[in-house]
Amino acid sequence: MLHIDNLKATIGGNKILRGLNLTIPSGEVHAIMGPNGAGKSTLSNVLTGRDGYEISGTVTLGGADLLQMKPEERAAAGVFLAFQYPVEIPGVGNMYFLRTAVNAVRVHRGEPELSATEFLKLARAEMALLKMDPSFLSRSVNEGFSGGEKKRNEVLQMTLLQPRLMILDETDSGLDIDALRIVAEGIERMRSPERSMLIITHYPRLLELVRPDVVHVLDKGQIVRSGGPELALELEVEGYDPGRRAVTA
Amino acid sequence: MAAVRTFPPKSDEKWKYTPLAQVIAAFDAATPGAPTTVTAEQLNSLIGGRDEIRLVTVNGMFDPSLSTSVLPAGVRISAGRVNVGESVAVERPIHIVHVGAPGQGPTVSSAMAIVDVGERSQVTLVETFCGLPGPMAIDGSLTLNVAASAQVELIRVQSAPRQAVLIGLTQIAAAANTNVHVVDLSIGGDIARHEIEARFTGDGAQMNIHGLYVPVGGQQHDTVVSVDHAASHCASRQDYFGVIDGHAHGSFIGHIIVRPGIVDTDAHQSNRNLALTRSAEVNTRPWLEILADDVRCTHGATVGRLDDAAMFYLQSRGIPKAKARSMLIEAFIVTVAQAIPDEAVRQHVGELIRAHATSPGHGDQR
Repeated sequence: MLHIDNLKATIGGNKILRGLNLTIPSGEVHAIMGPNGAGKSTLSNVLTGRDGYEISGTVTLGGADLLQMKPEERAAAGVFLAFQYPVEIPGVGNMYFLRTAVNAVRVHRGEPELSATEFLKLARAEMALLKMDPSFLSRSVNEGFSGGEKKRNEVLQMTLLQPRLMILDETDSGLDIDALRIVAEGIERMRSPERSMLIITHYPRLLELVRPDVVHVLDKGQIVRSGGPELALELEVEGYDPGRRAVTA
Repeated sequence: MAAVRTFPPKSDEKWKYTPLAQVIAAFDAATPGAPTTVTAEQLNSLIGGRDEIRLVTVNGMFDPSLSTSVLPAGVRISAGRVNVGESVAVERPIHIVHVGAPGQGPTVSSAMAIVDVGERSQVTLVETFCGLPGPMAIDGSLTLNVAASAQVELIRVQSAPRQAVLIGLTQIAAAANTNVHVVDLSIGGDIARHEIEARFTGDGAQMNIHGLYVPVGGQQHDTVVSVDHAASHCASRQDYFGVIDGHAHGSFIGHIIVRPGIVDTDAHQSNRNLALTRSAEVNTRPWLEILADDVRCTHGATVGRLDDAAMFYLQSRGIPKAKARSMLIEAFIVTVAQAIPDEAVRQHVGELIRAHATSPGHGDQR
């Protein structure tokens, strides 16, 4: 279970998150929607431990204090962020990267490392489900990948790392309808009673394929409204402004 | 015997980045010392055991007991000299190993070799500067004469002890239709300068030089490469990478000369640097003397830092910071090791680079 209490984050003197409260019980999928500049990406950065923010409040995952951990420790504790803009890393092979990551997390969790053969078998099976060509393993991390290929590579990492908290930051952006369906199926396969999922999105497209239990509206660094999946559709029709009026009225 | 080295005046542009006073002081303070021996075990612990032809010097003195005595046809080795005859394809690498073995106090040595490669021959040469720990001043030089249509692969590995001051000079004369590939690695030493003076003496030759300098802590690695296009229809390439950590200094001067009247010249130069800390110092200077018209010449230099976004991406996948760092450093320099065709040498160099990238002392001042 993810528990966020009165989270505030400031960068360069700008207050981005202003006392955010959010609880995602295990087994639930929550969506956060909101206009540009609401603090959606800052939330994913702060949860995963990116440098540069002044932070107060508490964030726990399964009772463990996330804010005290380094990014790699959070990953080992089960935090996974599917990046909005996956980073290209020329010269680092995708296979080497994926295996290093999987084994680092396994070692942290007290599990034995996977041999190259064991890893390859596992990776190929997951890639087949994501309709990724095995040649993606021999390329550099994300280098020259199309938008859709990068997002699939994110989902591949997610399925290999088996996180407890999945944060999907605008994972639907830049995907055509076929790629969106494959990515959504990959996400759906990860839904389980032990996992919490947070889908950050601007548009409700992905939420039609991965149905959330709860939808939140983030505005000016706070959750201003929460509701069921129908809220996503309502926002699509009405935009964010009516929501804001409804709360402040 | 240790030669008395003469140093250039401070105004010499090619010595611009080297702390000449410190270098001279190191040479002045050192003495040749008593003759020293190095055991085969010590040598193998320094450079590993491989199937190769060896010419070994200890403090600059030829050591026949550590050198290969049974040589393939067409190869001759004596004190400071290697000779490869005409039309000989030497299968095993020829390894010139200069071992520094300090005695009482700083040791000075002159470690030299002259290599003649005959027409149409093919050979892989490895030149290593290494040693047992201790203070030393080394004047290292290699003269490589490549006769027409010969192909030479030269891998220079500078892995001198950390207290060594090393001044190195590699002179290459490449005759017509030769193909010379140089891999130049600066890893060890305290202050280490290496100058390559390469000259095309005949038409239709090619020279590719890949280099890497990786100073850490307070090390200083200076590289000066000069390629003299004194013949027509020749192509040269200088590709140097620097990774500078701690408060180390790295410098590269890349000199290209194209003589008047020379036609159809290709000359390219690139120097890319990764400064890992704020206190790392990098100097890079292209120096082009193009005195002819029919020339295609490019040059470029960059100094960058480790990509924060890439670091965070790797860490966010559970990879510890130190490992993420070494992965990115390796990715930056991987092309240098990949450029070595001989597999055993490539592996050896890859291990040296990897050991260096993950050595303690890296990242301590981040």
